[in-house]
Amino acid sequence: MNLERQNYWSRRITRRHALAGVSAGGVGLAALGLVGCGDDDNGGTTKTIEQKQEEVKSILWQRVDTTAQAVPGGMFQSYTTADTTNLDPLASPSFTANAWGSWVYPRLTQYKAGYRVPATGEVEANLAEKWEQPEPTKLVLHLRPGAVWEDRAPTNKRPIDADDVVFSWKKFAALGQSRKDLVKLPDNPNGPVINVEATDKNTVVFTTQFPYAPLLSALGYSRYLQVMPRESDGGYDPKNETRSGSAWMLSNYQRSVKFEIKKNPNWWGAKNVLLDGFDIPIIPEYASGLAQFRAKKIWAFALTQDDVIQTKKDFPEMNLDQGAFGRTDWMTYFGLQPDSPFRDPRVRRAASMMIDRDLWIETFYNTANYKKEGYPFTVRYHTHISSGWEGLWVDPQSKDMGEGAANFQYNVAEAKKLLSAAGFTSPIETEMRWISTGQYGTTFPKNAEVFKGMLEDSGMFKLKVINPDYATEYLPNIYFGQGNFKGIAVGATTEYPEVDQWLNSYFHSSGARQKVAFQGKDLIDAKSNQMIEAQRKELDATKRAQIIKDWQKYTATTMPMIPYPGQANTFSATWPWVGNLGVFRAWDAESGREAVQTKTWFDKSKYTG
Amino acid sequence: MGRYVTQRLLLAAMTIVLVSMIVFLLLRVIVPVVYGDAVDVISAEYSHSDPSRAEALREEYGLSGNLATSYVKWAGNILRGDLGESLFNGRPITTEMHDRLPVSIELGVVGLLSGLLFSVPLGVAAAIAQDRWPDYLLRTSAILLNSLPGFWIAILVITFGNRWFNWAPPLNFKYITEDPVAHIKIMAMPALLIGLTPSAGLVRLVRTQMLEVMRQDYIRTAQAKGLTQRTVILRHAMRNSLIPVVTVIGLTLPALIAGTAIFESIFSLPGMGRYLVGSVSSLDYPVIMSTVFIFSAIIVVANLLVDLSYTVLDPRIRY
Repeated sequence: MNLERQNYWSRRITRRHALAGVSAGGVGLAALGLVGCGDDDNGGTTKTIEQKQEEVKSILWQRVDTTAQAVPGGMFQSYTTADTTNLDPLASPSFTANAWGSWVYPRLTQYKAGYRVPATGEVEANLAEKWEQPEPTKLVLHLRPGAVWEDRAPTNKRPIDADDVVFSWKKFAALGQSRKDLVKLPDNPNGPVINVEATDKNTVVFTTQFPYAPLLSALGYSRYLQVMPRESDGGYDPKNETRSGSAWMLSNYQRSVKFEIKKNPNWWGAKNVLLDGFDIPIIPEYASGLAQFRAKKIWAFALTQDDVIQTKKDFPEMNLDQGAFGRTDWMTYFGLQPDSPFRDPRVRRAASMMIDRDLWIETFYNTANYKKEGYPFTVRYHTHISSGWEGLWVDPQSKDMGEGAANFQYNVAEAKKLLSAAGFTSPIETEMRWISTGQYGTTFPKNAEVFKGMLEDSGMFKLKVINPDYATEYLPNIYFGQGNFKGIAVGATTEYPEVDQWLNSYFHSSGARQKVAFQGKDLIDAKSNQMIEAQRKELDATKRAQIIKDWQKYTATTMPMIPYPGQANTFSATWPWVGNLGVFRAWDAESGREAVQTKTWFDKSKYTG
Repeated sequence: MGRYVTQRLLLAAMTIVLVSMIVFLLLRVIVPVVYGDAVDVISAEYSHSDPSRAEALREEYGLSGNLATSYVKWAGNILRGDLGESLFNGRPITTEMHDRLPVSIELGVVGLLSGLLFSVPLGVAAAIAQDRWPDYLLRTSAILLNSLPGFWIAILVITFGNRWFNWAPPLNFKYITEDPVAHIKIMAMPALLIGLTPSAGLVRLVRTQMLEVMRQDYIRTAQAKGLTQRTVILRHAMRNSLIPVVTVIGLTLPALIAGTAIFESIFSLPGMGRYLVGSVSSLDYPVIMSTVFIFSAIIVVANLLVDLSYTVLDPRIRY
């Protein structure tokens, strides 16, 4: 069902409107903040920015490693917002099962935690203790001796062996939601892995059809291979029960009420685990969660960015950790039908230059308020990979980006020249599509409306808004449409742990989600394809990183899609009795179960709950 | 009377069957066309990028078979007392109902009772003080309370209760058989709040009915006989004025039980409402069908009981 919206939000959200929206939001915040909170005056005088910065700095940057003083024990009071569909990570159609399975089912590798700095995606040993690559297309992994399953029937503390890995792989290859990212199948000929076999009880061999650089990294991703015991096929019900082979066990799951995670005493690294476990109540409503956090009943909370400053003022002792940059990079992409103006890269580059990235980031990341309060933050523009890919991302505001950097700058005059050169001297009338329902969150439609406003503000676009139905129209015809639609679309993308899946899926002409070649057959960018293929086969990490950087510089000049403008650091809140906050930093939440949460501890001496 | 009851029971059964058929048609015919089926919803983009896997899921969930057969099979199981299993985790729906239905019933019943506790005396007071300031105050308050969504009030209570008193709703739900004190602490606030909106309407209804009854001849006779005002109101007027109130209570209670979803989400309670909302989000068809069946049965039976209660409250009424 297409709807042209005829309400307040259908008015153009221009640059002025965006700024006004930020001001209104600030006023609203201030009004709310008047209730029951103190002011920040310092003995009758208002603090200077420098004073505020010093004050905030002392809280934000205390990433002190207190492991030496840690006293083991205590249940961490966490929370979650929803139930899970079921508990089988290899066969569930929903990713919630992967998230919960990651607590208990081991992966062969894991992402190394960053030590006081963001993680980089570097891989380290986990269930696989060591590995070698005797040929470019073979990866031999040796399982850790002493790794055992949970001491409960039917696994009964049995050693985890290679047959468990092969069993789990076969299940993933047959039933896994994301199997096509890794597995070669009749309808997925580009899948890299063609065989997995156990050569002895502790050795597993992965064979790929070409040298596949991201394989070790993929084996650490919770949405791919989580190793389950063979007994899960008939010995217990994997949809409703688990058997742990990892640092934690699911000791209780009461639907709509809570999850209870306890330390697995049989895990090979158990003696170093500092917490007894996690109590994780299910709190669907944000206001309730915030109340629980403020009442100190839960110890960490994902405050909205609007609430960070006020909550910190109400509770100066609260710890704020500045998070790493995220790796999602949503896109504005183009219809590429034969008569589409967007087949011309000059038109796409011009559209990119009409996006005021600084204003957009300021609007959606609350940076104006953070600046006013002296909070430190960094802004990064996305390229065609997210700015969260440490070590791979090229800053488009730097000289490193080369000539393509100009296409990321807000420059309407230059954009008009490009359009004129492409033959467009009057406004381009076309359609712009985005979903207005909640699948991408409540802020997404506003993101898209701001893009529309910015494009129309230039005077060179007249856009008819169409809000397609997500399941019946947007997904099949636009998202998977391979450019076979009219106009422009804005949409979310999938986050991957490894940049290879991102590049192949969205930017290779044969990718499942590609939006750069019309129906995969026309307008193919052979150079981009060649670079994407080269990076996935390059086993030298440094050379591979360079290919990915060169690819970004190249796509900056062709602008096959317009990446979301960028991001600023966000903040997460915890109470001061959470020991080692921010010291060990996970690559993603699931990899943090063993790499980070085993090193978190409960400092009872600071507890005031 | 017996014939009337039999007719009503047959009508009730037909209503429930009709409701189940309409819901089935909506879920399995109309929603897939307009929106997508359960596999599309739960897998989102992945069902489109892996159609063979999506088809295998549909086969596993029994979504690719004949619709009429599916419905008849479901109905047959219901008659045998088998509500089926969740599509995605295989948990028996009966088990979930056993745990969740008492929570929702308790919320609804306690909410309504607490509402009655306030609304009946306040309605009577408003009637007695007609056109004086207590009447104006009570009526205005009732209208205001009726206009405000109950869940919004609940969020305000949590937000400002926390800011001013450092209060938060208790976490970690306990059943009354596990820990009665903790259970009462958990359920008290949501039950009070859920009863607020219907109590506002009841205040006005009680007031209206009291005013009408107070104008009747037999009330004037009672007053002329020298009975005190208190006796006239409590022994004569209230009983007759409460007949329509019983109707409203009878209709409100099942609606409250079925409508607790938002309060259950706000206060993290494991009731039927959240179960149903969750299953609608993921199109867990068996759960939706069985839950709607239970709710429609509750409402239909409640209607019947309300109608039958008239014969007790008013001996003049006979079927």
